[in-house]
Amino acid sequence: MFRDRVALWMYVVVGLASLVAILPLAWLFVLSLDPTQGVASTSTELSLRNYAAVVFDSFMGRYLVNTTIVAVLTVICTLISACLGAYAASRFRFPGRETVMVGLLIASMTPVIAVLVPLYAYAAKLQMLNTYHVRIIVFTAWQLPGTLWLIRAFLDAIPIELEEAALVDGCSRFGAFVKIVLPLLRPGLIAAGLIVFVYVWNEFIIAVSLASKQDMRLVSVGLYFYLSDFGVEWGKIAAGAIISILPPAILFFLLQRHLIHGLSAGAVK
Amino acid sequence: MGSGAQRMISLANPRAAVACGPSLRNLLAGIQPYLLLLPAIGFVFSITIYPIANLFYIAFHSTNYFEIGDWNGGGNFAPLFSASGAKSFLASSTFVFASDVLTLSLALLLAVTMEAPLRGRGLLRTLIMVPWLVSQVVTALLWQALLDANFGPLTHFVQSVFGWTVAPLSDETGAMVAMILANVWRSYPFALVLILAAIQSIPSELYEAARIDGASRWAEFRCITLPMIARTIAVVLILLTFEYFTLVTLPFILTSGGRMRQRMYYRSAFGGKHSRTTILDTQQRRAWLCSY
Repeated sequence: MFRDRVALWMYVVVGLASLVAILPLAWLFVLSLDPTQGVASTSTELSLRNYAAVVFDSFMGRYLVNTTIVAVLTVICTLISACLGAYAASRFRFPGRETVMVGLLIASMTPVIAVLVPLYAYAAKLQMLNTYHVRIIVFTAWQLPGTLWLIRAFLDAIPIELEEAALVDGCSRFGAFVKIVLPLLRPGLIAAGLIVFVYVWNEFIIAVSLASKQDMRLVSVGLYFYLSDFGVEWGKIAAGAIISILPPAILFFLLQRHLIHGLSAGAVK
Repeated sequence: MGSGAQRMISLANPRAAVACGPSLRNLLAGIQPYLLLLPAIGFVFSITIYPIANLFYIAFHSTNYFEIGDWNGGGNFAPLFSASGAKSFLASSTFVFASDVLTLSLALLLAVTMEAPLRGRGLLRTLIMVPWLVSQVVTALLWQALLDANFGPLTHFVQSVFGWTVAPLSDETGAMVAMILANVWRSYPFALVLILAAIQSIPSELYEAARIDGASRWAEFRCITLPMIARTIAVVLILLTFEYFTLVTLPFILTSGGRMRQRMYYRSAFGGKHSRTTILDTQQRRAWLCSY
């Protein structure tokens, strides 16, 4: 009896928490279906007019394409660099190893706005403003320390004997990595990739500073300027917001098992 | 042992490589880890470390837009210690403290509850994680709409239940409360996942032993769970505090960059090149101090 009552309370707490998490977004969705400007909420008219306006009459499509390109390329860059570095940190013992790892960690703790001004100055000087590659480089540099630590934790959990066995059988070091370690590393790579993707998708400060031209903006920047371009048309803004949440949400729901597993493995260490 | 394994062992320890005799091959083997780390270090150094060093340099010199003049000592730091500087600092600290307390308690409560095997736990866990996906921009817009004086459901609810007429976003305390709420909503999934992972790593034998000895659930929590996850909680607290002190996007957009001049530290950074560098610099120092 005691156990049942406690279980009931647990359901209540978790259920309430889920509601708190979801209801605001559900309300946002309902708001996006409201064709009036949200002021006279007596009408229960539902229409997709706001979505049509956002998709066809604004630059949202272009923003989505930009953000996808930047995000995917950042993920690739970050994963490759992080795998290389994590492999070195995990499989080798060399002087300065821990120093480098801790140094990277401390570097990742710097606040974004502290480097904003210098980065803007360099980008302006090198005439790299409003390009894809400057943002890819900055986002990669920002996510590398965290990703490197995460992948190192995963690599540490993969026994080195597997690679040694492969080398004994005549495999090259790189071949051993690709054929044996990578498949085992897959959950960690997926978790890290998802984290980086969501970060790039949601990033605002760097995005708004380094690319302000309209056809190069990212989704988060576009949404912000949408607010000021169109005044307070809540229906359209809500529609834009919902559209901007969809890609990371879909990815998340497809991959969330790997993500929780990945974060747990890293955190336990 | 085949030559491959021998090579691997010698590669793993550069000193053993050298002991095998000097040669170009041994040199290449010795620097291999450094080469592998080169991309990572290159990225991080050029984007993070070098600009920060540059910032420290600029902060001590008088500047005129992008020209760097003479040494200025602590001159650039003076505005930070004025009255308005202190007020901003107080506002930041309140925000960070309140957000920390709320986020941690919420995450702790949820983690303890979710650790037990409940049916449907997977779906509920996924739903609870959703606010992590939402960007700060969307969170700010969302909470701005929720608390809107005209049609926001939360203001409507408060009005109908308590009878107050509130317009949260049009005064300072209200804006602060709104920011804290939005911030906690957005960041508790992260804390929850980390704490949950720590709880799940506690060996269950401890709980079984406690149960045999007749411990209540509260005693179990106080004597087993809390001490075992104390370090994780400390790490989460540090990470959250860092993030909150350097949070810009959420306050900026929630207060519409001008509609309500909620003074957060970094917002005053958007005025004048040389004040910008000093404020960013000192704030970063504060963030570093907080981590130790």
